[in-house]
Amino acid sequence: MKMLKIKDVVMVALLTAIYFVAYMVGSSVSMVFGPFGHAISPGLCGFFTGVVFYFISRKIGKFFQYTLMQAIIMILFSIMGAGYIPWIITSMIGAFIADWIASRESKPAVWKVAIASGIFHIGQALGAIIPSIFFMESYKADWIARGQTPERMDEMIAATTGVMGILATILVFALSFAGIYLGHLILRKHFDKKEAQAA
Amino acid sequence: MKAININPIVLILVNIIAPTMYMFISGRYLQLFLLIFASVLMVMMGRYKRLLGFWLVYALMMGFYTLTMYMGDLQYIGLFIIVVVQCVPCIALASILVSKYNSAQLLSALETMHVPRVLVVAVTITIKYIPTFKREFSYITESMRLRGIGFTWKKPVKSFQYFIVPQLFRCAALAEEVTAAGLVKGIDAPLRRSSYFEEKFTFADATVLVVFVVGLVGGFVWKQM
Repeated sequence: MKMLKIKDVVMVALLTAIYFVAYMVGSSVSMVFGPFGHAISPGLCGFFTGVVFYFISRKIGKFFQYTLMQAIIMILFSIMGAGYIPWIITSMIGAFIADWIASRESKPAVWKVAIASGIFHIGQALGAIIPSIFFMESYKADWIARGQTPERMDEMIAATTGVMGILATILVFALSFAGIYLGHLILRKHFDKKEAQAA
Repeated sequence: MKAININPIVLILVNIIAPTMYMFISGRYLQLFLLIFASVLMVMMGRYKRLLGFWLVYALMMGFYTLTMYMGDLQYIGLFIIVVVQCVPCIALASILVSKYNSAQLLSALETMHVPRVLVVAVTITIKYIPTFKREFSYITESMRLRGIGFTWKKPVKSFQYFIVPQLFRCAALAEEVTAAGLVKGIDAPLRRSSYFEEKFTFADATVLVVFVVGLVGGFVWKQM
């Protein structure tokens, strides 16, 4: 298991900037689709940023790469005033599991990276799902205080609990999983060429 | 009026603490307080243009939110905007962090908070790279234009590939350059980093923090009333 060096940290930081911009665009677009769109927004982001996720795996391939990436994202959101403690906790746990799955070897199989991406983005999605299941009242009150209406919060909770909650989680996983294969499709020939040159 | 210099730690602390306070104090009060607090801070720091931009964005978003509340179909967008609106004061302060302070100042400030160095370096690089993203994007679109390649919905994967692949490999090349520059400056040295921009915690910083805390306490009192 290789650990991150300063060059890897710099590269993760730069790639996180791309991921962050894509994340902001993706979550803004998903809001148009209402509460369910909000619930699956990490999946949509996972789909479009799968190529970044895959690139990190192939170019860096060291333990803690995804944990560091998630930590940067969470710090940036906190600095921008959008930090939410349950979301930070579940996201960091998801990122660590993703590292455990796909960062212990330098070139993991594509399916492993895809599963890691799924878990990574489920971690982000659970930030809305877990509080709405276990701390429904305080979750509702917190977001009403932030400007939401009670009716909208009821719709949000309906979209993140019960069958819809399970469906949202599955969709987030499936979209993130597909995003990695999209990334593989796009980057495969570039890495094959590089490997051939190195050989 | 002479512009005062605020320690970046103060801005970071305000931005981290402020959103978590929505859990404990009245949302309306906090939104109003942060709006006034950020505006006064920007005036004190002499960031008038930014303040004007901040108010313009705020007013536009509030206007759009009010409009959507009368339109049933667009209500979802309005309710998304109102969540973003409450972040606008913090985003305005965060934008000062990016524009006013250079990397060395941010590094020094974050190190005094005893955040692990790896995280400090990574966050500083990301913060400084995001504004350059637009420039990088324009280079790519210009290159695509010169080669006669345009974005087309008929071939979405290909179009996406033309945009993202150069961006990723540009990042890889840039990482080499930034690392080399950092290593020359001893970024990985196991010693306490010294800096020309050693930011001292001044009376003005303490005053800003005290006003912020008093404002938050006011929020608790407001909620009890």
